Amino acid sequence: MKVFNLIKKDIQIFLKSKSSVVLTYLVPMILSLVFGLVFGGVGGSSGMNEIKILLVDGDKTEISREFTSALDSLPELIVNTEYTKNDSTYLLDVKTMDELIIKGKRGLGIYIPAGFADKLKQGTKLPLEIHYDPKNQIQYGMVNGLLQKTIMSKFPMVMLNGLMSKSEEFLGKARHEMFQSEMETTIKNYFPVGEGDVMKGSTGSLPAEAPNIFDNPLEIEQVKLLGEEKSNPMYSQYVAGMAVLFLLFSVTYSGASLLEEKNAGTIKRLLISPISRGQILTAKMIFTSIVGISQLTVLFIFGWLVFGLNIFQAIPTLLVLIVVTSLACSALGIFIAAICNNLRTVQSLSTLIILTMSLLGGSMVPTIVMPKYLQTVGKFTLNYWAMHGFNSIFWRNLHLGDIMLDVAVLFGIFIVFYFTGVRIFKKRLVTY
Amino acid sequence: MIEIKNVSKNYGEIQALKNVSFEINSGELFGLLGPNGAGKTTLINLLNTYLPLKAGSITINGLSIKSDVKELKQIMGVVPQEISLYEELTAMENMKFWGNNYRIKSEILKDRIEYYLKLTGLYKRRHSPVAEYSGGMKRRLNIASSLLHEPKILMMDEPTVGVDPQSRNYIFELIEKLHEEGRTIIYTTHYMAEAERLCERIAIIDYGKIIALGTKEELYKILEHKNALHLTFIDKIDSEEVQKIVPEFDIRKKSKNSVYISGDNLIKRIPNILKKLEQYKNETVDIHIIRPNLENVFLQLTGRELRE
Ligand SMILES: Nc1ncnc2c1ncn2[C@@H]1O[C@H](COP(=O)(O)OP(=O)(O)O)[C@@H](O)[C@H]1O
Ligand SMILES: [Mg+2]
Repeated sequence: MKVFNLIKKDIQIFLKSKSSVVLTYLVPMILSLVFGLVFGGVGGSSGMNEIKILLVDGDKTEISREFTSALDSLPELIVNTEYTKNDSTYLLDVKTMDELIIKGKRGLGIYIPAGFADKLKQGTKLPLEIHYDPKNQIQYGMVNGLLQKTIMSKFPMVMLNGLMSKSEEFLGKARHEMFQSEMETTIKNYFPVGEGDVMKGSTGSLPAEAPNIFDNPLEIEQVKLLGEEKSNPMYSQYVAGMAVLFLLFSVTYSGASLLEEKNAGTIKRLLISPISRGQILTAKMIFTSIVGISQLTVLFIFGWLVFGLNIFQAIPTLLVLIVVTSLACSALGIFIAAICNNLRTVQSLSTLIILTMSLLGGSMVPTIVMPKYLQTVGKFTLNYWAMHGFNSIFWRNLHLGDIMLDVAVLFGIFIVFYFTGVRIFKKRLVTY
Repeated sequence: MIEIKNVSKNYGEIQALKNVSFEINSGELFGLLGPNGAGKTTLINLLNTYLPLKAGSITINGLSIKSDVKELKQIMGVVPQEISLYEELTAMENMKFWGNNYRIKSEILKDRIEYYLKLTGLYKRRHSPVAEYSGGMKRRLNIASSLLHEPKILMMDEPTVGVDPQSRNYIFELIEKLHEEGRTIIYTTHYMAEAERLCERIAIIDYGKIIALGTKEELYKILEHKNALHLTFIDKIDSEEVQKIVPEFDIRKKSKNSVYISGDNLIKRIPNILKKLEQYKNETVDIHIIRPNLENVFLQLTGRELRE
């Protein structure tokens, strides 16, 4: 009950300070709102690494295989058509592809439906499906462009057919046929091609649904695998990052209150009362975590209200993640306070640590725009795991079993920082 | 009874306490008098178990300070030298918080909070945040919040530093009341007048050593001469010149234009002294008799003044 008394006191003090309440709840809300609005539109982005995509060939023809390898040979893409399971390699099917995307292993997959090659020969619009996680809108845009580029350079007749149909429209049938034969002769004169090779598909009548060349020659069906109902997908991406960033700031504040109490002499008085150092630190840890948990909860509810953040699909999982994230952050806050001598050092050191971690861990900028080695470094941050966990819930509709690794890593961070922090603090609470 | 035996304490190079030994009787109002940095707080912090005792031994009512910490914490109350309160919280909230660190039934605690807030004159302001209190009010609350578990032994470390006369009187009356109730009180101060007014026995501490201990009457006996004259001159003086004029007395320079004169049968010989001083180029502008006091005891023992 003494621990409870200590926690109650901290909560009373916390609630009396309007600035700390505003800083804990309101500022993150406003900032995540701004971020959500800023990034809500299409995020143009450059300097990305090659995108790893999946591909299922439902057509299984010479042409579809050629198309696949053409895509793979692009420097921007790495195309996987297989997956490994229990050390064996299998050809991907649509179901497995979708599962991999849902789990976040890949951002995007292409399905070439049966009849692709036939359509190509006929010179009609080509059907393709892109299955993706709407979070990866940027990747989707890039891949879409790359598909068009590949089709046009590899299979130019599709475009030519389009040209033909346009000219027929403009010139009328008779003049168009004249133009066509003249073109054919001209091409034959200048290029060593055999009779009939030119404009194979255009002899005879043109297909009814010949594409307009100014249009996309592709008929791409978007299959959004996740989060279709979200009103602002980018917001969901950022809310977790923002939340963790602000959580870190608020926990260092309460961790630092231990130092403040030491300076004010209240710690000394506590230690003279029948209260142990362990109780003081436990109470501080619990208080800090309570602030963290309430902060995350408030922010996510705000996200749900304003941006339709999907918080209800896995409530227990979300709660577990909120708790371990708060514990991990609180422990880090206590640790930082423990290694510093005064409040000013706590402030500057924690700002440095928090901003570095948040940048590397993806709280501020998606890790995908970073160089590879930085992405690897980012995995050593608390932010990475917390965000990975939250995005798994908000985006991939995953459940506890799927985010066990994130939970375990965060819990590990909590254990390591809390116990080292407590060890250091126990020594430093008293100045001998 | 508190028994302190051969207690020493170092902070790195600094020897804050040097082989201190003395006893404090149960129910006694005991003063620890000494200048800043003498080691008063260090001794209090050893007594209340905040600092670990490494050299020497201390027992309180037969309980060892090293092994019986739990029991001791229940019977000890400490008023720290620093104001150790949560400034954001009200007096009421502070009292509740500090009281709840001890096992006190909530109805009893409620009554005691009211009682001690009234006793310290803070009841009307009980719902104001401590941050809005004056220095004296904070001091009073600092004391009140140490009394809720009704400790048998109360350690008060300079509880009147920086307070207004009104608060000081509140505090003195409170201490006298607590003393009448039979508590053992250890009171540290660097104001000799406080020790003289309040304390039954006084230990004078300087540079980590107890240099004198006893009732004030016993301490006055240390003085070579009971009374002294304080003479002030119009201009700067040279104490050796004054000594030459009255060679049969002890002269001690007090300030640049004043001296203490002491000697046997001083009061009777005042006219004689004044007559002799007429020949001194420096006019005497003020003269008064100084009764024996701890200030002079300290001065005689250390050659320094207690203040500063
Ligand atoms: N935590 C500490 N670290 C180093 N030196 C200290 C510490 N606390 C007190 N001292 C030194 O020990 C001596 C005694 O200090 P203290 O017990 O506070 O004296 P007092 O209470 O009589 O003013 C002083 O010289 C002081 O500077
Ligand atoms: Mg002191």
